[in-house]
Amino acid sequence: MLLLPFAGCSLFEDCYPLNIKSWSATKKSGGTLNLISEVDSSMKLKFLVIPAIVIPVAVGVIPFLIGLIFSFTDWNLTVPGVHFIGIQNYIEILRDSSFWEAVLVTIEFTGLAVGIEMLLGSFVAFLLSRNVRGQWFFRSIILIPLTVAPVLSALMWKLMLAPTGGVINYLLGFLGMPNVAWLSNPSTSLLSLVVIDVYINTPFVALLVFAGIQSLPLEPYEAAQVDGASGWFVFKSLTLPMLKPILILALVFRLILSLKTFDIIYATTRGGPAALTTNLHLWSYINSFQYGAIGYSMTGAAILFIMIFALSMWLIKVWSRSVSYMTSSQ
Amino acid sequence: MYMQKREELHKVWIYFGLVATAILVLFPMLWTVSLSFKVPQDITCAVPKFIFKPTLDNYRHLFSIAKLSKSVGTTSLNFPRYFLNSLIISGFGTLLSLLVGVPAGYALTRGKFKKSSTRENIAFTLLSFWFGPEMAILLPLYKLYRTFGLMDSYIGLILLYQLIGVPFVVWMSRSYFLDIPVSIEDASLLDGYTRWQTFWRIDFPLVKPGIAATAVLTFIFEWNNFVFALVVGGRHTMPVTTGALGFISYEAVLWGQMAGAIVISALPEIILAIIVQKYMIRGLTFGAVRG
Repeated sequence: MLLLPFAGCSLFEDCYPLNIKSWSATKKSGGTLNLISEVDSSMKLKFLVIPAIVIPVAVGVIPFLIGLIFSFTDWNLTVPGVHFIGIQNYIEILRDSSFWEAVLVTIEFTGLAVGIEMLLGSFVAFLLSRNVRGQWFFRSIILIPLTVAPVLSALMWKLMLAPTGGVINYLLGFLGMPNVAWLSNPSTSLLSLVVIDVYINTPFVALLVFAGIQSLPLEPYEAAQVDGASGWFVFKSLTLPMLKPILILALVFRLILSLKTFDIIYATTRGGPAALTTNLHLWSYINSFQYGAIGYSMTGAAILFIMIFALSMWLIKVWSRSVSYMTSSQ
Repeated sequence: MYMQKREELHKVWIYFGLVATAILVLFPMLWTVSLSFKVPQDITCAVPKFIFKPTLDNYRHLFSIAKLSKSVGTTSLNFPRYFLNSLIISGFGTLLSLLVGVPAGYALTRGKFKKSSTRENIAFTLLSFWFGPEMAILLPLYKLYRTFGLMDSYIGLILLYQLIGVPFVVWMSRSYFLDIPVSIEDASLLDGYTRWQTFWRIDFPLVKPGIAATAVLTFIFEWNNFVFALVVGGRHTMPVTTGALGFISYEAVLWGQMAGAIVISALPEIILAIIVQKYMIRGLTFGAVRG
């Protein structure tokens, strides 16, 4: 797919001696031969990209860099004066138990939610890929949670999980379960959030994996059938390796985005009860907007950023390795 | 015969799974819709009512500001305003994202850079804005916006929403432009058309459906945003996402009206999504799936 833009070049190399001067010019400069682009305005075309860089830099990169500087100061709204204190915030944060609790919540939440989403999403994708009638209908229904704002979905669940009059307690009552205040009970609050996240994001995994299954080649399966391979063997040594790139891709997206979950937690528990559902992202928000500890909260945000950055670098490497394995084995 | 029977049985299980999934997906929405037509006594009674006398009170309250502010006491909620704000911010935000993003997407497909990998790198770097934690930029931005008087302003929010819109539009439009073979364009250039004419003659008709779907998704993503409006939005620019939280106040939780607000806020998204359904999947998976 990435080779498409170069598809035209080789055609024109031989058959179009448009302009001898530019021909020799490109030859000398040793660049790839693209006569047409040489004579028109492709060189100027690249400037169109400038606005798309300037705006995100202005509202994204610059504030981020300023924030990094904040993280090296003792700026606190409740204390007058701002001083540079070097890496003291970073040392202090590593000794702060509330920080480590937030890290733990982040990891627990992400691990549980993404794990369930990957399994459930793959299962739904498998169901969708069986060519049954009405597949189109089911696919469009499964799309819906992806388009509704996460906050609104979270609020819907808040309505359903309410201790009095909540429909979830009512339905579970038939199974003999006692009434539970799902979002404010310390032992169920994080789990409830995981359920909400699973509701919102499983469709994403399902869609990706479904498309992956649709694009599997038929020949290996026919060969396996001829050889009389068992269903489990076919799954383990054909389907799974071939789906690996798309599974990793889904994992990359889900891991990164759920590490920085904010909306659904803020809308339902606001980090409570106590700080049992405060993940690192919310921890950073609470520290700055409730406690006014600006420098310290930016330290937390910077650490979250580094966590996400390192993880995505590593995952992208794993992904590209799995892709190159695919293309070389074909 | 045996095999056929097994196949049939298999199909029953698959249908069972699909129907169960559909119910799980739809139930929270339908339940919210039902709540929005209930009177308060029906909402908080211990045994949820599946059959009840529907009322339009919640919706009437939502759209009559005077009554609403009276019923909540100190907090004044203005849902029509929130809705209008969402329309303005996401509407103009999407427009700006398209104006900035589509030409950039084109430049990153056809433009000549020193190294051809630069195009890919810029596009990818832009996309990575989606993955950064918002808090890392929002607090400094809060300070900056206060300095420049952009707090609680449409312009401030629309600019900030470009962090969602621009990377997405660039990424998606580039993916659509990449589908067009260079040779068609080159042929048109050889015929003496300029780059600009070629764009409108050749590329634009081909990418139009894709860009339209991208526009709809950009609108939805910007509509869905919560964190940005929470920090730099305010009384005047509050969109539906932060506005819906206002129904939980210290005095009481207005469940019925909140349900109504959720329904009205989510409805445009669901309708839009169904309209462009055919092109949605590619956008929702960031171009990873072509369908």
